[in-house]
Amino acid sequence: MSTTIEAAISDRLISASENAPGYLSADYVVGPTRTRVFANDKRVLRWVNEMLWSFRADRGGQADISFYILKTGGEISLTDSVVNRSRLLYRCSMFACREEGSWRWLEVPGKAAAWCDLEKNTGIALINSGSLNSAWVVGHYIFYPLWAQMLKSSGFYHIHGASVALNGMGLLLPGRAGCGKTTLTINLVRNGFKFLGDDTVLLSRKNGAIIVNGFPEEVKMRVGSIGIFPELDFLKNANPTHNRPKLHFNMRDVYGDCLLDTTVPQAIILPKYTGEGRTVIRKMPRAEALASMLRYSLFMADPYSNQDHFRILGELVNRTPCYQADIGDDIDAGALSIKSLLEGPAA
Amino acid sequence: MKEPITKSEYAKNPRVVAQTVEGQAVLLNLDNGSYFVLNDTGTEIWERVDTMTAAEISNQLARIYAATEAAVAPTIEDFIDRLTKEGLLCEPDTAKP
Repeated sequence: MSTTIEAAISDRLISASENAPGYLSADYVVGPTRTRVFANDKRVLRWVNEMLWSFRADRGGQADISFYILKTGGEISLTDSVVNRSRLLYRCSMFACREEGSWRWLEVPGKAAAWCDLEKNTGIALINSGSLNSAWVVGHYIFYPLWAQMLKSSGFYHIHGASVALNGMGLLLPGRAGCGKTTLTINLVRNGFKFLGDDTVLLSRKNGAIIVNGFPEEVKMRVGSIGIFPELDFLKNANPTHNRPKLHFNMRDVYGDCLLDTTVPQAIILPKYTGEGRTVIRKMPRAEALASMLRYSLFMADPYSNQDHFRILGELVNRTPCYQADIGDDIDAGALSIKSLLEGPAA
Repeated sequence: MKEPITKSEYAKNPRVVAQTVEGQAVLLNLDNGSYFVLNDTGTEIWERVDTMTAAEISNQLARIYAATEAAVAPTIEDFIDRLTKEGLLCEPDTAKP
């Protein structure tokens, strides 16, 4: 038996006022914002927790963001009625997001559909039981896009990028998938840097500064990259699957006490892996850096928050030196160059 | 030869926001997330396009860049055309937030 996301919304809005008794739940706190995730299957919380483990908190008071992720049967898609009255905002690899006023609709065709209200900071997702074994569908395709959008109303803006810090000096490394962020980040952590995230971090304001908030998900590496780092040999025994095509590990499990919650970026470096010759780092025009950061931030563009997102990125590039790093085959030397840059007067 | 653009012919699309960084404007269309980086000259034109005619912009930029108005005018008109086609400019009457 299947249900529609519209029916789920009306059901859930009624029982949400009763604090959803009978569901499993977990709380996550980002800055002052508490998110409570409800689920009717423990696998959902496992996948969400794998993504948000660093924000895990004991159950507290009222949640600022409530997100219900519910298992159901049958194929799930948005109804024609929803598609007809909403506007397509963006398509990513496996999902599409639609706008209807302050409502957002999200669909992974056949597998899941979700809805959120950006004014009430409430979201509901339906996932067919066959997709519950996929961390990607639950975490990255259904939960994260809507949650990240709701989080912007609390002043936290995602950017596709890595971040590390050395002696209190932060480094932001925005970049697309495959540009070498993870390899560079691991190498910097091996060279004494603290780790905040290798794929996504959150920007926010604090005491007049723009800070990077760590988002230390499990690090995801391509099979071909692990040979670079001998300490990651153990990953050779792992089996990537269709649902989890990369190899996963937790940075603190391999590199010990390397995590940092927040940092103020002293430099922005846009890495580009060339794999040949020596690493070259050069100053980058700030307007070009801002455009690149838009590319890595607004891939989930939303008119509800684009202006604020643009503003914080603009403020950041205006106050932070920007560089492009063409990462060659001298990975260790490249990391040392970046270390020198951060410690030197140019930054 | 194109008709000269009159003073009130163009307005900036209110759904387009701009930030100027080191003399270069970065424009973002809030509705669809598309963005544009203007070079120095494009930025000079963007900063004037909703308050001056194309002829006035040509006159000013010719003086700034030590060129003749006749030399800069076609470039400016072409650029304004491109801004319009990209939806960054609109008719003043439609420029409501």
